[in-house]
Amino acid sequence: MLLRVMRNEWRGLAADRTLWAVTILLAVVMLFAASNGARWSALQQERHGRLVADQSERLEETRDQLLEIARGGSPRSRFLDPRNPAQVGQSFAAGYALLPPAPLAPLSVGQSDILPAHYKITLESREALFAGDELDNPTNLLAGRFDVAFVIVFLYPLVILALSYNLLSGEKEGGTLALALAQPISLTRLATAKILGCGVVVLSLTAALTLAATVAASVDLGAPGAFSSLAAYFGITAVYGLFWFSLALLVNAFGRGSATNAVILAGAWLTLALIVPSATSLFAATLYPVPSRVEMIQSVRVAGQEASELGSQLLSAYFEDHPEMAPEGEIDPRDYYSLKFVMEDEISRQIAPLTERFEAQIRGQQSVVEKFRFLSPAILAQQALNDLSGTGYSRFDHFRSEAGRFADEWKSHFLPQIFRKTVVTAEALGELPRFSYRPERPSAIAERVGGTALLIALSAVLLLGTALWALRRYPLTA
Amino acid sequence: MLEAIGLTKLYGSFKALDSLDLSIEPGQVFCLLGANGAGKTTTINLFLNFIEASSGEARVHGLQVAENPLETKKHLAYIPEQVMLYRHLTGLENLEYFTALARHEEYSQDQLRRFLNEAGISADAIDRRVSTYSKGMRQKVGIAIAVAKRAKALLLDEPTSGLDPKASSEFSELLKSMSGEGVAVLMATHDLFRAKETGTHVGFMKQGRLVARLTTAEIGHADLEGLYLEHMHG
Repeated sequence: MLLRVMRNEWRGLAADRTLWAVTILLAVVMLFAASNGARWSALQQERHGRLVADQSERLEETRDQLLEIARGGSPRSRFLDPRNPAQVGQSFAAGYALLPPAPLAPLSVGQSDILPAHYKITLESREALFAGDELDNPTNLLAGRFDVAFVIVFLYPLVILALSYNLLSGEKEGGTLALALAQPISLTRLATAKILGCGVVVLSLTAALTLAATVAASVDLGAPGAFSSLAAYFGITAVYGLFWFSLALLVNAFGRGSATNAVILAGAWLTLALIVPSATSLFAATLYPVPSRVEMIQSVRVAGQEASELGSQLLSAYFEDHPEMAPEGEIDPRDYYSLKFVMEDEISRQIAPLTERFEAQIRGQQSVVEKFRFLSPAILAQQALNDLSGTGYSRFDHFRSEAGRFADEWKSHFLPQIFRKTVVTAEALGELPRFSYRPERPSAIAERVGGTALLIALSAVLLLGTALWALRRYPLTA
Repeated sequence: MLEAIGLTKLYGSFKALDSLDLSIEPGQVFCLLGANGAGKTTTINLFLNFIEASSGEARVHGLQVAENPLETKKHLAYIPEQVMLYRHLTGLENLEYFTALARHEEYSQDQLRRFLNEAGISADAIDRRVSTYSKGMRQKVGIAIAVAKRAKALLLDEPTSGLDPKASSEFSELLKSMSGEGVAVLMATHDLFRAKETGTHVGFMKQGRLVARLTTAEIGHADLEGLYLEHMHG
């Protein structure tokens, strides 16, 4: 019986031009999105490739220079000496921390166009290292580029609504509903079967097009985790679709005309997909304003001035605190590099409260988004799809702390050498710390995506339940 | 087969149907006559459980409609003023679908064709899309659905209004043959002539009340019109 109604629904859809128009439109849009994502992904990979090449070239050149000097030559530049550990750590050997793209990256640009996927690690303070990234955290709510995730989060609901806004109202207006319900089938069952019939079509269509987009964007499905991520991608698409179908059913259950339903559903889409996300980010920014960038720069300057006035006093205080760093023999109070790094350490200490406040505000904003994200299934779906593509906020945040960890390691490798005025040799270049990205635990990602999927599913079930309840009072007669 | 016991429907303080008592046996054709808004359609909708009774009960084949909405619909067939079918499907496909909904999936395509044929749909029209059908043809598909469903009771809501005399008379013949096979028919109509021709009983409704009931054998056609007007004015 269920299948009978579903089949009838398919016949209806096939006879209706809307489905064909929607299919063509979705196919075009999906392939465009795939090519966009692939282009972006290729660009990032190319950039990473250039950085790696740049780094190894620089290392190679430094090694040559060191070997030349060892053979009795002199440095190629008067100002840059590859034997000086401070200069090696700061420029000659400065390395990159790179975030490797996840297999599904071309499907969702996510935060990758706003948050850096690489940092140049030098001996600068962390504040300076990370100053490149935008201080005012771009909320991970705003739709980014036109990618596959965008199509699924924003356009796919429109397709669903275009095909289901008149699910019952259409049959009521066409007169077939009365004839169908004169048969021994309940309205609930009929409506469920119709939704299922329509859902199967839309979901298979979207899944097929997503798969086509995946292939078109040359995603390597053989890469570890790629297949399960794609499966989860479909899972999210399914529950997200269920939400919109349930909404359409609920609106239909009130028994209004098709035109009214269309207006209500368009309004709901506008609210849930556009207004709530921007309102949430506005609310978050109002509730937790980040300290201004100017204030940050001012504080760094003031702290810098104070530190330079203290000068050599700082140096001896530092070595009292860190005796293991102290050079053997006399401390040279005028040594430029020693002073520079001790002063930087002092500046970091001075502005720590401000940095802390800044980070606390960002965390506050994130927590507002966390709290209110269930208000919009679009935010949830976007987050989940980004997470699966490895372009979500959390992964970039994780990468940032990974890069920070490496920066610390880098610094503690060079600082003792700087204070002790160790001479860098060609062999020492081979023993430099190297960045290797430790990915997040897969279970952490699974938990995040699973939790988000559950939230979407819960709201969908809530809507569906209300819709089925409301159907019992459906006005069959005008 | 069809039974109403004190059946009442209120919309606020408006009585759409006021304690209707009615019993229609197999083979009887009961024609409900009355002005628009007299409660004829309300009665039919109550038997179909499309609306909820305020008090009293409607019974089909001895079963209370409100408590057994699906079971009672197995016995019912409904032909509204306009039988609306799926326009993109052919007559045959429509019949197939509605018969399946009625849980009669046992018919072969040939049998389904025969039902349509017997209802007066010509062989070449059977495979045409319903969007090309006239109203008369659609009403006949309605009959075919009722026959294929083996309905024991037929609810008709002004089924012949707007049909040309030939189509109307063909439709009446189909009704007669169904009632001849023991189907109980409740028909709301404005067509006094058809009521006299096909009905075994007539009832006059006025402001939600059944004010008179007669068997058609008792009266001539001219009398029926006189009686009708008398009741409507009185």
